Amino acid sequence: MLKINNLHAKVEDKDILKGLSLEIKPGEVHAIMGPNGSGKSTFGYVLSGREGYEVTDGEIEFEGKNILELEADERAKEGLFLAFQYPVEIPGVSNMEFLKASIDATREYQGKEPLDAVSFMKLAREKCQQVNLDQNFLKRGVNEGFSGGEKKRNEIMQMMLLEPKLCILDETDSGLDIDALQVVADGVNACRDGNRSFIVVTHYQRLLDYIVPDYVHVLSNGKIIKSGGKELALELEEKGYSWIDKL
Amino acid sequence: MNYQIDLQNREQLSLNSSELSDIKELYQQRNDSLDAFKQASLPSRKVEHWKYNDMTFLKEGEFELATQTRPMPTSYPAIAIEDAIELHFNNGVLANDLAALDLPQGLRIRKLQECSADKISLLAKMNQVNEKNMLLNLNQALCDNIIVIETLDNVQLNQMIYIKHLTSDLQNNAIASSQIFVMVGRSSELSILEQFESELTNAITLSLQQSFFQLSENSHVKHYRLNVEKDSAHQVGQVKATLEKDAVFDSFYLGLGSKLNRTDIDILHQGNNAHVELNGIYLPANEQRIDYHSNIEHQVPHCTSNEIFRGIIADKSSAVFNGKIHIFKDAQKSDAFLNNKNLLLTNQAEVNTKPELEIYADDVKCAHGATVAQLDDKSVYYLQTRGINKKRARKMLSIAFIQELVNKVKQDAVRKHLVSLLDDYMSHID
Repeated sequence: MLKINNLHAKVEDKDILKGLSLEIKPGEVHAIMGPNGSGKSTFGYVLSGREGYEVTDGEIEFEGKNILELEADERAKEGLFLAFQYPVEIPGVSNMEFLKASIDATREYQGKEPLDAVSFMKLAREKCQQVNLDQNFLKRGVNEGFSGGEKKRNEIMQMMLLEPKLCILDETDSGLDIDALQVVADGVNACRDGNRSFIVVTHYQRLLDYIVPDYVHVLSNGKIIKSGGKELALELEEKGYSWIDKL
Repeated sequence: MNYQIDLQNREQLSLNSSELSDIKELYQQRNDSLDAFKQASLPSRKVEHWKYNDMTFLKEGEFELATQTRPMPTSYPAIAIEDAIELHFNNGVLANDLAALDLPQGLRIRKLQECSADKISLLAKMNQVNEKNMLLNLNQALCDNIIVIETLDNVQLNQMIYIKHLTSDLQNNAIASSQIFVMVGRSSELSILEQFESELTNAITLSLQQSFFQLSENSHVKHYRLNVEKDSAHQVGQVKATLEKDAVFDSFYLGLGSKLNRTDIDILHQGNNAHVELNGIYLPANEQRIDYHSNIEHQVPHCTSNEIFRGIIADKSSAVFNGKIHIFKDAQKSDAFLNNKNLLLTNQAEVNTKPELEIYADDVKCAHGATVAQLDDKSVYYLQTRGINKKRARKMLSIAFIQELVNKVKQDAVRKHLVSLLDDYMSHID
């Protein structure tokens, strides 16, 4: 599904990713762990196609297609989804209007019939319920005045609506209490269908108790320096990130 | 009647001989306005109130007052307002036969020359010399097209008055000139929409228009002033309202199009507990220039004012917003709020905003603020990661920036009209 080979990227002339390689097959869950400043968030931005994040070397192939030349919206419509650590607030654009525009654009790109207003509303309400968001959220501005937990649940709801092939969850656990974490994890787990793949980017092992990964990778100084099974996360938690410096 | 105005040799000018100039109640005021016009400098960057606008085209050749009333075809969609009472000004001249209008009880619409001497004296007072805008003085000295709209006391008018101002098919250097004078009786309610349209032309033309409102005790006026001229139009206008005790003036502005649109808004709180609501959106694009100068005078205690203007400045266009609140010494317990926000869509777009407070009373509540920003890259990116392309994302964010003001328009027909104008505008900008 995703093949990344020797990825180098820079932001404002600062090299952040320095030869990252990773391969993900359909249905797999990969966790990427690493200390602050290791390039975890940059990785998500580069994958999603954020402007200002320049790939200087290497390749990203998604579903057999080189996506480096694609705009962020085109990558999204190809089936790549990034759940943000800090989703932005957009007052004046209602959640409903935003979700409708998003679904319409995605379906059109994928050659599907547009959803009529009634089916859309039904679907949106259903997804709201699944992540425990009140339906009134649909009428409010995108993330406007939402609590940290509500913002994260809104991200997961969008993921459920858009049905992407690959989901990147950027520090989805940050700022969540246990109850909220459970809701978010349940949402993610409900989306695991054997084909959809996940990249779970996190600083802490805690989230991986809820979303159990197939592989764990340790990112340090822009490169994956160690890979293993889910037990690697526990080892990392126990020994701390200073341990990897000695690797 | 061809009245020539050579702006380079203004001292030669004398009042034109017209029906209105011959009315003795108006003569002094018209003469004073003309004198002020002769003495003031032409609008240029050296004059404070014209600092950001180029009116040098005025120096070219002689201007002539337009007298054409032939109705012109227009490319603008009609506004679907049920039962509206429609008035059309073509190149400043009223095209309606007023006698043929079917007006509801309590409403009267007349030409000024048909009014009584005391009404004429009242209008002369509204037309006092303007210290800031010499072109308005020119209009006050020369205007022969003055329509008086008047309600009796205790009249709740359900029908909207819709006034269409069109300039088209004008000769080079023609000036269209008109005024309306709205007098609202005690405890009466009135809503009025003015839309300004023009045809695209190579000719240099100038449209001067002033709308005066006199709100008696406890009267309510809803007012919309929509400027949607084409890129060649020069429009200089004024809205001036005096508010008596408990009166409410709710006034909405849209600046869309024109080569140059300068609108002065002057609100005079003259009775306790009066309230004014000023809301406006300006959306210059291409190389258009839009300039709003507002001035709210709290002359007496216990009055309130709330003013919000938002601008989106596209392409190489520019906008000016100057909002002044003046609280007089005796105007204790005044409550005034003024906010202006601007969104620049390109690096060539320009805005000059100046909120001003001038406060002489010591027990008042006043707040003012202004911001200038560009579209937030993070928000554009966020929308893109959800499959919405950049162009669409920028449009959604731009509409969001003015949505709060669109929502303030409570009359469905007007809001629908506004939304369709905005959709059309959004489809043309990048």
